[in-house]
Amino acid sequence: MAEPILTFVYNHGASDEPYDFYTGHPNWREITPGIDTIIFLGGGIGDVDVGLGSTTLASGTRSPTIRPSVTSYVIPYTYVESGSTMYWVPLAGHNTNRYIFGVSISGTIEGDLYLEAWDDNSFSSYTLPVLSGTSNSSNESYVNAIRTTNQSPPWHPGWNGSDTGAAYLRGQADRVSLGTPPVSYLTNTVVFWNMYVRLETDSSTFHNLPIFGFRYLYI
Amino acid sequence: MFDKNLPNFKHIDEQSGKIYGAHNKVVSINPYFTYFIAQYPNGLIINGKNLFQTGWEELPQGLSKLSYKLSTGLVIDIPKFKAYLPLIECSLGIDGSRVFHSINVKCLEENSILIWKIILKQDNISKFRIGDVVLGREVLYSFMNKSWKYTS
Repeated sequence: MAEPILTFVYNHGASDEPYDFYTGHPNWREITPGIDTIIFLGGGIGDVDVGLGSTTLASGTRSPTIRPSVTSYVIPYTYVESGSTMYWVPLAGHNTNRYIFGVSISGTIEGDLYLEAWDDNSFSSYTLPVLSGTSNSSNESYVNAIRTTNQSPPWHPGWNGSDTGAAYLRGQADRVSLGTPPVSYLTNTVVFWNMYVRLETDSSTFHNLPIFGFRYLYI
Repeated sequence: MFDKNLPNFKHIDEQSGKIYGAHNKVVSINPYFTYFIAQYPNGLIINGKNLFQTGWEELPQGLSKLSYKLSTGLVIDIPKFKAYLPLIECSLGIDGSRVFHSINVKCLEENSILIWKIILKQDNISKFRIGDVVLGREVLYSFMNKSWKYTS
């Protein structure tokens, strides 16, 4: 065997339906590595009720988010910026939706595929404010992610990084295994996850560019 | 589909690659010039290809010695065990970047599996350096992957 080929995909539609390894899905789009960027934003002045729409220009005024003063706050909109256009990922967030982000695995991964978050593509540090967290987040990362390959997220009343199959993403220790457990290998399949960013009231103001990385083994 | 020439290693033409992070500088082996060397009792020597297309699956059974040559020139000889299964551990960023962390060579013993973890990168945070070997152990599996290569 050789290295598997991973393709990152996201659900641009409003239907909670999976991306199929062989046939894909019309609502799903591929993330182009090196060009596309996942963006968490919105909720600030001017878009509280209307959002930014299904697609929007990546240039010009970008909807800011807010630093909450009373209680923690989930950044409401998740987009994928692709060139000059940003594509909304409407099902992403603090909810029970299942099919939002996926990795299509062509070939074989020995063991599981792990979703991790790092400062940058050196995959060696996690000191950015969004990953460091604050006292109000118990010094956990603000990035909550959960495996949805095998089931929808739990609702009690909302999932977070401490749930089964979830993590407050930060480095190698706090990561999400994406295969349906127990995992021996992953071959020609698609794994899924959901994620959101929760800001705390003691958050600093920041514009961070962490990287999502996928760790795996192959022969 | 990904280009094999990924950003972290796109322009490497020397023995090791430097990746400058915001808080750290990682030095990595060059995956294009890191491969296994398998020796056989009849004197046959088969070299692997690289870390992208390792060539392990095409390797005949019955080897007598397994080594790894890193792009730094370092050769790591692995003691003889009943069988071997090397797994490449890497990370792929959503931006297409990639880092190779280690080669985890699983070595079959009588009652357990010893893991030779060959480190492929170093930085100013991790205590491990390129070429370090970290030993681990696993219990025997209920079934063996067909990619194990048995020694003579």
